[in-house]
Amino acid sequence: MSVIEIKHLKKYYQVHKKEPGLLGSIKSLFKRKYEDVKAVDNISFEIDEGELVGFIGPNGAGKTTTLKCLSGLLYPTSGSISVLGFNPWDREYDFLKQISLVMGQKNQLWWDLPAIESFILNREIYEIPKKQYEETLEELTTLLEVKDILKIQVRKLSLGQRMKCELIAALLHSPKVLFLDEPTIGLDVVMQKKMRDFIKEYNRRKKSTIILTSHYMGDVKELCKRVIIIDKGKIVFDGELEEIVEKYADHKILSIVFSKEIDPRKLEEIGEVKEFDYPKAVISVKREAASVASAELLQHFPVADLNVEEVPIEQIIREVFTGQDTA
Amino acid sequence: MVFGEKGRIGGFSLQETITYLIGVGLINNVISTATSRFIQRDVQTGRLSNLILIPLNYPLVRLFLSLSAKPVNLLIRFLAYFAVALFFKGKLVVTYNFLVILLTLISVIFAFVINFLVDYLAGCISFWTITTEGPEGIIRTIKNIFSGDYAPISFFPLAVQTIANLLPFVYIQYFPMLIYLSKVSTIEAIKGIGLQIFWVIILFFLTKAVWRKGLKKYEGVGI
Repeated sequence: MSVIEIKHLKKYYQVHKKEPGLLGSIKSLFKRKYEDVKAVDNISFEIDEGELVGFIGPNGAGKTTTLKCLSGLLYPTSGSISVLGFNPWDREYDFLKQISLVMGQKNQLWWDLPAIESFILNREIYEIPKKQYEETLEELTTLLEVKDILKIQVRKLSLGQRMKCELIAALLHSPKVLFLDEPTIGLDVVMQKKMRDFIKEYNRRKKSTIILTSHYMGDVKELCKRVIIIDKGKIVFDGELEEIVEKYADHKILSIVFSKEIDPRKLEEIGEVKEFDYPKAVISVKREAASVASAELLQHFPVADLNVEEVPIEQIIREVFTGQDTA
Repeated sequence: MVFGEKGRIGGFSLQETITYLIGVGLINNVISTATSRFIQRDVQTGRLSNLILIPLNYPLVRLFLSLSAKPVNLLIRFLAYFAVALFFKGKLVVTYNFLVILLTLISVIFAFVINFLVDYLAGCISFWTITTEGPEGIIRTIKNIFSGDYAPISFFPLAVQTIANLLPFVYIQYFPMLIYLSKVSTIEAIKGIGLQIFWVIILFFLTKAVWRKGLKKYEGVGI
């Protein structure tokens, strides 16, 4: 059963461009050039219950706009959205009680109060039964190691500490659908890992549907089976993470360590030399030619070590965005 | 002497005028809220996003947030007004007529609602202009003139009085003070409260429509 259904969603923003300086300001009073920015341009997808989907794309690709439309913040220019059978824009309480939107830059917590006060407020707002609230809070604070900072004014917390508290506030009502925008922003490596484990566990245990955007491929690689790549408002790829590699990476990477000095020009005959810094070299070859190339290398060169690797997923995605062939 | 031979201007004696000016100030303190400024800030900073995504009614949240700041604020103001009143001892109109006091209080309550809705509407402008200082200043000035904040409406030329009576602002400060000063009969007072309710209904639906339209324009910036 699909929990989220988007059909032909479009969201255009109208912006006007002002020329710099005072003269530009005066000009813009009389003559304005408006332009449509196609933040989201005709995208469609469905997400089933319990799925954990990674939503990736460069800055300004339309990820956050899509999440905002899904949570009911933005009114779509056209197209239809259904989340848990609701139209998000109506923002019915029954809908709002089952979702949560967590954004790196969004402060849900009351700035001047300790986090615990915001949690209690949320308990009241979402009408969470006391027992459930206490259990969830205990579990979340232990898992994210924030027990000792709950009574400190939120404004005095560090970004990472605040993010953790934001996440707790967003999860207290056990939402069925969770929109996470950059959940690991500002966290140190150890905490990133914890946060990922936590999201994974939460998804597994509560069978909640999660859409996650991130700039860290690590988040996506570790958490999501399915990814949707979006660029310039359009979906570029929707499928399993491994498929990206097959679809876009038509090359493999050979890293070699030589045992003796060689003529780098000869290497060019094998494949495209990406790096050469004796004794190391990195060559990119066509996927199907990889085995032939390695055999040739071993035969004609003094090879101490040879590795055949897949192109890193970060690079593939980067190149999908820039529209280049992966080489 | 402005108050002429008969000692009256616009139908107000000196004593009534002093009472009026102190009275409208007091009413202003009771009914004024920072709603439009708050809405503007919420829209500008994107904080509105947090508040409309919780299962609560945003306008009511704003209303009660405004009310919550009232008690302490009013206590201090009342003390100040009491001090001023002592200063003008014997020069103020004091009434012990229970009906007059009751009708005045009722009209102040509706004045609060009308004022809240007008402020809310002014705040909604920020959906279109992002900053509202300009348009809000204009609305505030119009409101202050036509609500009788500067002077009783009857002091103004007839044309201004006619316009004032067609606008809701007159019911925010002028009308409650007319009741208090017994410038209107009981029947007229009740009729006027009826008109206040009429304006509440009109403004309620207008605000609702503008709010919905504004939200469609909302871009949730900043998050």
